[in-house]
Amino acid sequence: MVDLDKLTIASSQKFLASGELSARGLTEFYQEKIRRLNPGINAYLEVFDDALEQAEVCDRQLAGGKRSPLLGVPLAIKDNILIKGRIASACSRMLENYRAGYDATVIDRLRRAGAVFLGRTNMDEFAMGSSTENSAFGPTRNPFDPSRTAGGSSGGSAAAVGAGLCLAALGSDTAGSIRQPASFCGVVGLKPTYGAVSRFGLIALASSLDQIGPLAKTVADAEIIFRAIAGPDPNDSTSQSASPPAPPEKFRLGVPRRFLTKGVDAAVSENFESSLTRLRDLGCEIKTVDLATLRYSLACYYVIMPAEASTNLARYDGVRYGFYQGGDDLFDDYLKTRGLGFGREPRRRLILGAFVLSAGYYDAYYRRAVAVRRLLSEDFRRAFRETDLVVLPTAPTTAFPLGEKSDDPLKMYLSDIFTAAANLAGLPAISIPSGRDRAGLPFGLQFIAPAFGEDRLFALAKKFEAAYVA
Amino acid sequence: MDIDNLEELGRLARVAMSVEEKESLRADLEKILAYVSELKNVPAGAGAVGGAAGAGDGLVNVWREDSVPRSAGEQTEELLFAAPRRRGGYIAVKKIL
Repeated sequence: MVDLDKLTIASSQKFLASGELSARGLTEFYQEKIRRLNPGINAYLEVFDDALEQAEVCDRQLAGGKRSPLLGVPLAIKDNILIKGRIASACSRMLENYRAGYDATVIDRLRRAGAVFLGRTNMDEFAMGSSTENSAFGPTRNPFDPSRTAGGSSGGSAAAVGAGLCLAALGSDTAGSIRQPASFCGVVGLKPTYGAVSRFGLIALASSLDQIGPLAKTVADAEIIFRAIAGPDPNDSTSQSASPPAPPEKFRLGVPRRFLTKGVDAAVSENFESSLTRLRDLGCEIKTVDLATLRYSLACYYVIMPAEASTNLARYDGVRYGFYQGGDDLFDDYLKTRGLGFGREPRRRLILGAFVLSAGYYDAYYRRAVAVRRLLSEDFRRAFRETDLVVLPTAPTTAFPLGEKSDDPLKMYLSDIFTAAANLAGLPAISIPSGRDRAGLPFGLQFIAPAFGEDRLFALAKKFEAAYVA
Repeated sequence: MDIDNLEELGRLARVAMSVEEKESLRADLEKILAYVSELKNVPAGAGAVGGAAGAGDGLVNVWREDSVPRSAGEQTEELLFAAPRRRGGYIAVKKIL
């Protein structure tokens, strides 16, 4: 008998190939678990009615001898990634009834690889948030403690993997939206290099920062999904391939000590130090790196992101698709449609974006932030001359209680203090589980690599996982 | 930032706000702007503050041939399907002039 709760993508293939397990049986297992557990967690917004049909196609292919690392693997998909014919709402009233007219490139690639799409998952509206509390459809609850958040913005995907309601999931990460919820829900989350994965069919937040990536139970599973979705796409001119920097024999790890002195929970610091000891025991050399601009990364992000979001979200005007509220004239149509269709956080960021881009403030805010972003990239380049990876905690806290930060946007923004830098510099970063606190809540450990250095992330994360994660 | 500034930003962003919301948004924005203002403390050389985003980052433009990949009308229904208001093969909007 196969223990389905312990199944990984990697182990599922053996059972699916031998016939001990069918794709239909596996899909039914998750559907039953979702029926039972999802009402308490709110990870899924919708479970697709054609999942069993998709699984049966896989079973026929398996019977015909077809083999692929994702054949028959049930996945959950974040609600901002387009699946043809399905609603993709980005958890906004604005797109509540919007049906995708085409498949995102990542969906097309996973479909060809034989994955089964179980359903779409909850998120902060337009991926704006760090707790999934900004969803128009209610917050997701943490599978380890339902009074706490699952993190965000890919909180639904992280909770679905953490609660065992799918084998793995897709999320998107603009400043930590895959890694932070992965950390809160005790799973692995990868933010690929900018350009490694096509964003065609991703509902855009900030186009110089957004990346799609996997959330999975193990590093090997995250790697399988990454390899299936990565690679250049003619439909996304920012996608590219590059020769990856090889994983070294012995890892030299950089720790930006100066950046870790304040704003971090004591328990997180303690866990981070013990992770460094474990990494040393695994043969890694630990060095202090300067990364002087790192402490400005979140401020930099909160200028660049709203500027780009205000541009990207200009398309929601009630004319071509989405919510529409009529006013006195066309301009009033725009004001009312956007005033009512967007929730509070998108409206706050749209106004902020208009401010940092407006005449008189552009130089002091936007132009300044672009310059600081460049300094940050240079800092990382310097750090990677003497180290192979940079190590940080994923988040400054473990999962926080629902409602704790929802009235204070700045407090919520600080959840991304350790993750925004990788997006600003376009670097790949992974969060892996690194133990639990006294209350049983998971900690996350983050590795950041040079551009296209995903292989390095996988290599060290697998070593750490094999030695310390049960 | 005063309420007049905020209302102007609301017009630029095409977002209607209620009276109560304006006050709380104003307070939020002041806090956020105070936080991001720490960017002024970055010891960036004058040379670093300048140039467009991406310039000097080793980034390149990706070009493709300018061509018409589909015949006229091929996707009209698919695209109009999502429009809140339509008239025949067109999207309907209020008159501008």
